[in-house]
Amino acid sequence: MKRFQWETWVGLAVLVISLAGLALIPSQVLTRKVGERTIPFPPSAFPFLTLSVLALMAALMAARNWFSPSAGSEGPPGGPLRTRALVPVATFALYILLVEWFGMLPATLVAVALFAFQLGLREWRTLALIALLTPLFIWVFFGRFLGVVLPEGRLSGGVF
Amino acid sequence: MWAQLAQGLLLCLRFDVLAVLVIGMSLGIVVGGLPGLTAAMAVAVLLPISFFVEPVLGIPFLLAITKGAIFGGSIPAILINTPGTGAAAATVLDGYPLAQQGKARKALEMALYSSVIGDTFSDLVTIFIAGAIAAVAILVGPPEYFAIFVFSFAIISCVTGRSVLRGLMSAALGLFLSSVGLDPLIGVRRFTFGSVDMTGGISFIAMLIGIFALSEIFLYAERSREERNTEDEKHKAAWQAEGNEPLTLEEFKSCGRTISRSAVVGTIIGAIPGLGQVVAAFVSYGLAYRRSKEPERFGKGSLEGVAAAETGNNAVNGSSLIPLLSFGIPGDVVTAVLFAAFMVQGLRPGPRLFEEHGAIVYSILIAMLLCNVLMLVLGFFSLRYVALIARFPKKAVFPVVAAFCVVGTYALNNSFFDVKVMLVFGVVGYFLRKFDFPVAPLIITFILGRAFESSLGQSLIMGDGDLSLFVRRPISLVFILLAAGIVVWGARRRSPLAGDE
Repeated sequence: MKRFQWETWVGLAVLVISLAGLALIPSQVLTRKVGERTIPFPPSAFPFLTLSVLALMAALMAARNWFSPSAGSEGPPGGPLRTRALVPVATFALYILLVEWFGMLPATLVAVALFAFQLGLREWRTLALIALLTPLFIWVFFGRFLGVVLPEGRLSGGVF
Repeated sequence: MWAQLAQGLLLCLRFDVLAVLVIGMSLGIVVGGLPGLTAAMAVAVLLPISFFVEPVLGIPFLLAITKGAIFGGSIPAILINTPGTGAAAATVLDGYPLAQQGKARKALEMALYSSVIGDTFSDLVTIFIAGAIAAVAILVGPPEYFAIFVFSFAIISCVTGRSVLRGLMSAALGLFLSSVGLDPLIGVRRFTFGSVDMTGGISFIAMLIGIFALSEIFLYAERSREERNTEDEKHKAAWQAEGNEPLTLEEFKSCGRTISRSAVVGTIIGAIPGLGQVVAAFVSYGLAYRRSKEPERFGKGSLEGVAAAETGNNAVNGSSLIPLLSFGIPGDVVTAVLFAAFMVQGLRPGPRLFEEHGAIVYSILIAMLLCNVLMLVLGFFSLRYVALIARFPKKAVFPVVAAFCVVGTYALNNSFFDVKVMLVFGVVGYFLRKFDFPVAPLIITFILGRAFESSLGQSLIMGDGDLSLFVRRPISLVFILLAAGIVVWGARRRSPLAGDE
């Protein structure tokens, strides 16, 4: 049994996603008639075409491991997938939640400090400086200068 | 044209325009000087700012950032053997050996002067050609447009990235994502899953910021602390190795022919969608090597090599606007961002743009020329300081970039939904980069997807569903044959069933 390489797995994943998309077309796209004539190019045609091309290419990608043993044998070109990448994704999700709850400025202060710490910044003065200056700059530039209504946050009681 | 040009000149000779250009250019040089921060990332993150000001300020601001970043990318390429942007990849070949020989200042000055000359030539060509091409483009109908789109997508998918298969997959994904929201022909909802937020489709800006800025942060964050510290230390140490001898007039004159040739090559390559700065830099470099009297010095520290690469990549800046302004087709990621900036400002890129907003368009084009003057002045006086600023470690820069991503995306529509979309596309961008899928086809097909679908639908309605319409009209036939030729060439060059390299 031949061992699957990363290209095969990626190809199969994209194939499954595009087939799922194709299966969703009847429920997610209306196909209707205008008067008595059927529209020559119904709304479902474009997503159908693009997803079909994607599925075909994904199948080719998954299959090429069988025709060319070296394809994808050296691991993903961008380096191996690391679980460490999940940490900033989670921090970013937390940042969005904090903005919704407490408002843009306090959330930014916390998130910038967290991000900087995660990325390895251990000089406390620099860390504090960028954590304080970033929300200040956002308030001055976006809030005052550009007139953007910065989110206040549901739990901040209008303080920020 | 001349009246519009004069109006454009008056529009951009204002203090606020000049101030915005100085800020944009300075930001661009700093961003380009920081390895890992690209021109596309900078314009994506700063794009929302341009929406709050008039087009004469907003669009030149983005153009100034791009030009500054493309030049700025040569600074780390020369000093630390790391191109600040992809466009400076060819500059490394001779720039870094020159720095090692204590001739960093010569290399930096040559990069500056050749960048300005390449860029100015390309801008002048664009000013005098784009309007004329647009006048011809008005005569083109939906079937021809469809064929031109197919040609552009084929070239972008087959040329960007290392695999034609992954390029085509990226393009197909972009086209599918563009179909989310209301159908452009009869307004039917597609893939909205009942959400009101999805009715308007996926926000291009949120997608762009996610793919370019957030994914970069995720990729940096997944490295171990040791890897990140080693990189920062290496950069810090390398910045010390500078030389102080300036470029002489004789040295500059000896590269005159190379600079002229590379300016023409870069301008032509820039006008073809999908090729971009990297191709222009390497083609110019290759030609300079073949025509040089001292080819043996290439790769070991040749000023001619630096001049060729920098003239070539900067000469793309102006001419890449030709397909955008004349046909409404962005040729690369940066012009795709500019497409969005034009649209938000109520200026639809395409053949009618010169007719309807000629003065504004010419003011933007003239502002590009002003940018070059600024690049010369700012670049000359700030090279040393920019080199110092560019020593900032990424661990201090990226948290600030992350905050700007959130506030910039939110500011577009005051919508948290857009911010969440950005996060999703940050993760998508992470996987695309990990698995080496080129992002340019995705971005460009996404932004043009609705126009592409409209031209296909209109053509089919015109021909009553008859597909032979596309081969019966000569212009569309030529472009379809060209597209087929490019895909066949791409597949033969790197067969989908063979290895990538």
